[in-house]
Amino acid sequence: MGNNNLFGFKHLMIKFKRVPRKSDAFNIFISILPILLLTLLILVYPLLSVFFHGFTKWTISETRFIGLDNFRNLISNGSLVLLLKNNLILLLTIPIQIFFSLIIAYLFYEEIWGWRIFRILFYLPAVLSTVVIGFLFRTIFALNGPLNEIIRFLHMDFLVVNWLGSRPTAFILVIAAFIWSQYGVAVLIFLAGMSSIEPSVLESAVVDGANWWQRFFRIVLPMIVGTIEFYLVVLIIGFFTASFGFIYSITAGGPGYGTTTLEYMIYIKAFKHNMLGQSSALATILFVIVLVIVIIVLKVFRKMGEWQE
Amino acid sequence: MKRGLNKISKIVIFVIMLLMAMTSIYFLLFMVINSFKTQTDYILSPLALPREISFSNYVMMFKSYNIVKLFTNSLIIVSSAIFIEVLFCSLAAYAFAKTKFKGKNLIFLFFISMMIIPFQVLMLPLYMMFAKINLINTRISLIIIYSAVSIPFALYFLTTNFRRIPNEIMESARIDGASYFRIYWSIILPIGKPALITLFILDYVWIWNELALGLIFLQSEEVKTITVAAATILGNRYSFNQPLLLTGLFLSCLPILILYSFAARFIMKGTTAGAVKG
Repeated sequence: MGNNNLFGFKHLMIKFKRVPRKSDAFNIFISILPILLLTLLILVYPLLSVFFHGFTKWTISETRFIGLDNFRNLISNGSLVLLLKNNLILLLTIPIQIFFSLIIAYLFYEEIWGWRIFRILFYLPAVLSTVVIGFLFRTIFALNGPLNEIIRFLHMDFLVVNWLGSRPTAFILVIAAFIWSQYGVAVLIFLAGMSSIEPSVLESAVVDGANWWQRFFRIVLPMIVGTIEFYLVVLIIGFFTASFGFIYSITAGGPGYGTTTLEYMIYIKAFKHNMLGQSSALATILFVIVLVIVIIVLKVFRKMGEWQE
Repeated sequence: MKRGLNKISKIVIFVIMLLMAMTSIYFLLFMVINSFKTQTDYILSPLALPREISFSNYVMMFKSYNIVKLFTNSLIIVSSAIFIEVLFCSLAAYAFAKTKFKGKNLIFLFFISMMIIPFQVLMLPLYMMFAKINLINTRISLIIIYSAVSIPFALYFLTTNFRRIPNEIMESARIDGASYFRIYWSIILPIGKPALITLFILDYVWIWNELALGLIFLQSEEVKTITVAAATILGNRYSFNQPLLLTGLFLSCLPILILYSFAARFIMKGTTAGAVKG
């Protein structure tokens, strides 16, 4: 079934066993109808609506078709490039994040001392809301906040940083908040992937004289490529949705539009600037970008899979 | 399995891990400790223990921040959304896991492919849609939206779990004359209970914490959830009174922390669903 690879959700597909029973079509129809209606109404219809309204001037009272003007405006006033740059900065932290989570997961797999407790504590930030984490970061890293107080107390005033005052440091805060809240999830997912590795494979590698890093790169990583692929897709989609809360609560997109990303601008354009058409155009761009990235990730991993076989 | 790491690197690793784990604990402690301080006390020494324990922040929370109302709103929205989602998704998952019909794989794929839509894309059209029928600033609009947005993952999660229920039990029930929905009610749901609990807890955490949709749909204080109120009311009104802000933040995540301390096992199991093939 070629269709099973649609959107690349190949490994999420379930092989359905055939159950020998008389099919009662009506009952099945009734069972699926509610979620079908909800999905069509709340997910599919708005998606199509966004595609359409990106090409219109949209207000509560009227909808006027204006072709590509929204897209043209976004490109010509330069805001689209800035937004994409900001998104790119966030996305570029993904490899670092995955690499460190993989190392921690491998240490946990080797059952380092206290790993069970560490696992629970590392995951803890993931259950806190982005607002709580964001405001905590903003409070702790404030100009007169606790962190700078310690530095002043130690008479190292040259290290005092106005974190929210400049673009690079504000970005570092958003990224730090995101990574801090998510690495526990990554560790857990990678650990689950590693649990399917045969211990004997690693043990014989030890006998053959492979050191820790060699085992990590040559045995563990190749064996959990599927899990990494899964997490990468989850993380990329997550980056486009979860970063909203951090940006809202830490920088509010500032200084200026310095940390405003595409998904945050969708909100600003629609609910602060009242430019519904442009917001829809941005949303369309966001959707296409996510779709393309996810497809590329899955393609690359499929290539890696073939190459290994 | 422990070969390959010498003693020194083991100790170094342990210390690094410990420091990382401490950040999780410290962030919580920072909220709790400062919630018992007055503003002057905080400004003088944000890091120290309170000089004298003050409950004034908590009193404020009840008096002027109306925290009980906010908690009630959160509870109503989260519980109703999950009830709808779990009811509908378990019904559909039963059909996908235990029956066969034409086009099943394709329909299933249609549902789970919805996972890749970032919901910022849907925010504006949903708002316009609900504005047309005057459902902005109501809890019902968010209940419907949250339950719909949760469908793709819930359906995937429940279908994989229900598939493991042995067919023999269902077959013998069928021979005894049990109807389609009877089997759902007395076999699938009871046996699938661990999966249902896991899903319930996972969704509780994400809906309780959801910000973007809540922000645009709940603008009047009457209907705000605790998370939305933390982002708007706390963030605007109390951002210069840090102890008060931290008290509000602490209270807003307290229910989730309690849930996590009891159900960490379920949450962690649910997180890894889909991570491993098969």
